[in-house]
Amino acid sequence: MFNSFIFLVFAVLFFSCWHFARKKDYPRWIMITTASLIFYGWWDWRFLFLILGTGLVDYIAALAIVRFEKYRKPLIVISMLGNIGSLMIFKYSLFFAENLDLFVSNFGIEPWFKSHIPEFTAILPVGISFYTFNSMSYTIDVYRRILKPVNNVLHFFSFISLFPHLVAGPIVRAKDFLPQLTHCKKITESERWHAVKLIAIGYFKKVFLADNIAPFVNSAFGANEIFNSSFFWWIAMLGFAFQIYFDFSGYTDIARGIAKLMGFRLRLNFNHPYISVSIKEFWTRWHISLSTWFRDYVYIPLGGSKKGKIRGHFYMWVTMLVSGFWHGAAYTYIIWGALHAGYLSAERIFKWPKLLNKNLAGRIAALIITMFLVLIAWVFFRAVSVEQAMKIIAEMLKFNLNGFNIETTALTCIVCILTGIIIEAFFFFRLKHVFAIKNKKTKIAADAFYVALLITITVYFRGTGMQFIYFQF
Amino acid sequence: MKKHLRNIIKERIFIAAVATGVMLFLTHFIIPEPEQNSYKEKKFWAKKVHSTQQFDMVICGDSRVYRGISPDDMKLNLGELSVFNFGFSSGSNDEKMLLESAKRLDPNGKKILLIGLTPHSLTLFAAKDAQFREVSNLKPEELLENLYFADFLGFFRSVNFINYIKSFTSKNNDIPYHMLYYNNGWVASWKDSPDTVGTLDSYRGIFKENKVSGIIKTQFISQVKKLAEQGIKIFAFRPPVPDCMYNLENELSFFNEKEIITEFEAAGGKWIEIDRKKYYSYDASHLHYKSAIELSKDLGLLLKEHIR
Repeated sequence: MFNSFIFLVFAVLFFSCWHFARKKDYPRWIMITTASLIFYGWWDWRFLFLILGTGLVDYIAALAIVRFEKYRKPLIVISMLGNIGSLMIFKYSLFFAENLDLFVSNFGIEPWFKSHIPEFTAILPVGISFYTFNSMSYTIDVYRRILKPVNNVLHFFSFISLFPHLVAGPIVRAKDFLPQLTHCKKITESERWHAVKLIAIGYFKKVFLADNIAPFVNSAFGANEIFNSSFFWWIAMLGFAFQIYFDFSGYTDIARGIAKLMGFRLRLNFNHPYISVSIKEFWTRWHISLSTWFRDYVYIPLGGSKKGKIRGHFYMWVTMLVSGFWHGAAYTYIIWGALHAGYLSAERIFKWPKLLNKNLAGRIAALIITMFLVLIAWVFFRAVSVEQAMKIIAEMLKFNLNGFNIETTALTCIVCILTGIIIEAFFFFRLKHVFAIKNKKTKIAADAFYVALLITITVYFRGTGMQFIYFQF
Repeated sequence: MKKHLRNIIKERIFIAAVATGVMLFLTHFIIPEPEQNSYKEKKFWAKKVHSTQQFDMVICGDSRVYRGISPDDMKLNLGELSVFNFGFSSGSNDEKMLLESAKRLDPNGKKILLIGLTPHSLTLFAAKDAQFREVSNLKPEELLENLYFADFLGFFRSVNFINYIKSFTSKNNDIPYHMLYYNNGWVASWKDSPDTVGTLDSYRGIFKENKVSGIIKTQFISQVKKLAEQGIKIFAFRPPVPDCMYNLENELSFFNEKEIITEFEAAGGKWIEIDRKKYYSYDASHLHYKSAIELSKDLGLLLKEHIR
């Protein structure tokens, strides 16, 4: 994990050698691949074979697609089977086995599937959902003839395994990243500074904000009974909304900062999603690398909005359901995806965001409506079961005035939520220029103080060390 | 060279690094040491399990042992012996833990094993030895961190910012639970506002489904016999608790003290009788550190008679 002592040691060792290795292709690729595989294997060395195996399948398939034009289709199918197959085995086999057992038991047949799936399928390899998608983008783009396959296996594995983004994204497109790996870019002082700032901000978001929200949210969802207070649940859900945002965007900031220090550019993955004034806008700001991946490789190939309105809705539903399912093998994630599909359909039909976004008051109303819809969907994302989610939503929608004991954990969560709201409001009202410092020396001092303050708060007021939420996907 | 140095100093990263270093260093002094420093705790348990040091006497048992016996205070009356407290949270007196305790005896020393025998330590739940196993199975990097970097990382101890603000503004309503960790394996503990009946309900719940196990008891007696045959002097006592807890345990846990003492002594052990009314607990289970010191001195005197 990025927030572990061992990662700090790893990073120091890596960057001590990186300056020398990065200047030429082979040493650069060897260093990236070796370090990244050590980084990944430190969690469980057995799963190195999986990432190497699926990676090799795609590397060879891409070369073969270009070399053997006649067999392009079967080769892309093999590549997809390799990636989707590994996902099916390690991520979804238990889900399908349980549901098949449930289905056959309706016909009086003894459940069999769950008891016969191999034990190793119970372990979800960290990052499998991310690196398989990275790899699939490579072979699909080669198949589509918009990318030439690379001839060097180390070059390819540097792209797949690059440790900053390996386990929790952002999902990187081969056509954007492979060229970056072929040259040694000079890193300017400004780029180094922005990288360090990104890393400091990332740790602040994850270790201070997200990890201080987590205990309250976890205790709310972990309790045996649903607490009988709407206020409690709105706070819990706002807490979760900001927890997952800061956790994931914090991780991405750290990943982007580290990649920047290496001389690489990873795309922005979160762009203040909670200032969105429509669900459509939300999906242009939340987990951008995933939503654009699904747009480019699922929605548009299906037909997108070009085959009529009804088909457009249908393809959008398919895309969102698959996106929900990508997050986890559970009905709660599928319902989360379905809710967002429903919201998007409603927006397309009723065009309510356009009606509201005519003035500031309307935009604020649209923001509140969007946030409300997103929070309701987040209930399914976080709940351990559909039943729990329904009970929580019922409690939320009662809007009763039952209070609850706001002890330390809850107060910590509320303060972090308010911090999140202030940060997002700053961007919603575009206040950046208001606080801009013109004097260069003052700006440098202010910047340095800002970073020092962020790091100090992160170190001394950090929450209990929690795993990054998206590691479970 | 000078120009290069000037360029470095102008870099924003350098300025921020210096500012961060100063801020981190100064903030350490305005953040109070938390009552429970997790790094000290991790180092304490890591050392307890992974140290290769051996001793004349090892004391084993559960939390009533690791909080209730101060080896240094025992030594005041016991003489020049090296003593180590090998108690664990919900520690068991099963075969495995007795063997682990015996491993820590110096083969050239006095070879004395002192067992704090509680009803809970003979249950199947305790036999999971969860804490011991968890610390034994730490990953190498975690072990390294806990053993060698705990002091450095502990410099950057964290506090909850709400509690920190509260400490300036109003009384903290939590009952502070104090714990001091010693290298000899003892944890001196106490509460500012003792709650003498605090743990009774939890023990009622524990003993509902989890009684003294015949299997664990047999293992215990059998292992005592084996160790006694190897020349190890084995003593045992029942850590003192208030009457309310004593009666609850006797009633609910199936702990037959007389029978166990008889079997224990037949196996080669020596039972030490303690006047439990002499000592006081802060939660009906664990001794206040002052009583722990007193108990340790008393045990030292009692054992001295037997090991002359």
